[in-house]
Amino acid sequence: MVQDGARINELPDEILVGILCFLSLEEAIRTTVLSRRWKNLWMNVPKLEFCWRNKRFPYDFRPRDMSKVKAKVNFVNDVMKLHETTTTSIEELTICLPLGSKYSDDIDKWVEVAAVKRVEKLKLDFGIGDLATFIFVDVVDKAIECLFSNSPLIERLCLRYSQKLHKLEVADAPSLKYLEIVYCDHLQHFHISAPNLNTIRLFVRSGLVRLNLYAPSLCHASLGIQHFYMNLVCDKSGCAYNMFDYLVEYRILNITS
Amino acid sequence: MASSTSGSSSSSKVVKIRSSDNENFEVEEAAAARSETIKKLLEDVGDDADVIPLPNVDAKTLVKVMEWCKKHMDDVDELNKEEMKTWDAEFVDMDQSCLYNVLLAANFLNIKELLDQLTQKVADMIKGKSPEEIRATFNIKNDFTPEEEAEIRKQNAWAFE
Repeated sequence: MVQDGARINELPDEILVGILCFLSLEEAIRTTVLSRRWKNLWMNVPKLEFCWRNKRFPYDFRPRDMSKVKAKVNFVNDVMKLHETTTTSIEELTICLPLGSKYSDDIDKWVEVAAVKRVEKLKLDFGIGDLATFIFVDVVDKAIECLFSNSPLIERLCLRYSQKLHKLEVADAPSLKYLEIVYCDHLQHFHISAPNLNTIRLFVRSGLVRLNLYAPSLCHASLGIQHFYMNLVCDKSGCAYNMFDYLVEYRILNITS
Repeated sequence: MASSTSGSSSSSKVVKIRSSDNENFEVEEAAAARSETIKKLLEDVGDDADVIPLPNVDAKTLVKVMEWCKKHMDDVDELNKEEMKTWDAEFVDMDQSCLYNVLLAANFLNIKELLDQLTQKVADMIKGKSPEEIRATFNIKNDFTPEEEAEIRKQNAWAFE
């Protein structure tokens, strides 16, 4: 029981961590300086969110923000390194940063840590625009495959603006319920077996050459090709066929269901 | 504290609980069962339950917690949502020692929604404050040497910008 003249420090770690969960990552990290008790507490927050999007204009990164990108990448690297050396778990990892291909090694590393930490929700968003000057990032093919083999618990995966993704082959993603792939322009070959996949959002600029999808539980599919966008809610029976009837631009389509 | 049957619930089954300072309370089962801990205990002992002792929660705190449980006994319909929000905001507006005791009780009694409301309340008290202001608000003693503190700030420099 807390006596009068109450001190927050008398609360157990689990409650203090619960409090930190309601703060932004920056605010949580600022508590490291309060006292020894608080120094490493924020590391136990199971949800890591690095999000440096301008909230009002999500795709508007002004030059002065861009100059800070390097520092932010370093920061993510530091946090990931810290997490690598501890047994703390990460349930959710979100990284939203405008990144170019020179950071692909960093990104691969993050995905690797996410895999080791058995992250259940992973959201990576590296795009920026002004559509004329996209800077792209690159999660390489191997990294995603390795992610699923190490982390079969992943339920949601969003991949956006990855320019190094050519071939995505995921033999088995048993827990995957939500998959989003947005403007990964060089994705040529996409094969995924996801028995529990419920929702798929796919936005491509041009033809995805080969799509091989095993998703018997699929209910919601949004598909967009360049400026052509549709949103379909399919019922359980035969949804795959209804949905892919619209995909006339795809040259080869393999549907297993 | 007598049990109240004035709520909208027709169930008026009452359970007895005892605080750490040996005060007995009669509470509607539906309210008490908001606590997963009590619910589990009730399931275990069945109808043989005499009094459920709660050795970690004093009477003053238990009254507060059960006040919340009674209010949250039934599912809230859309119409009452706003009213409930106001009630909740007023409920968590308490002095710090009371807040921490209710927090500890909600944690022990495993009442997730109440725990979330209280931790959110403390988080709101942290938001927008400098480390110095946070220490002052929560009576946290800085036990770092100036050198150590400078080093930590340096390591996380951008978070302090």
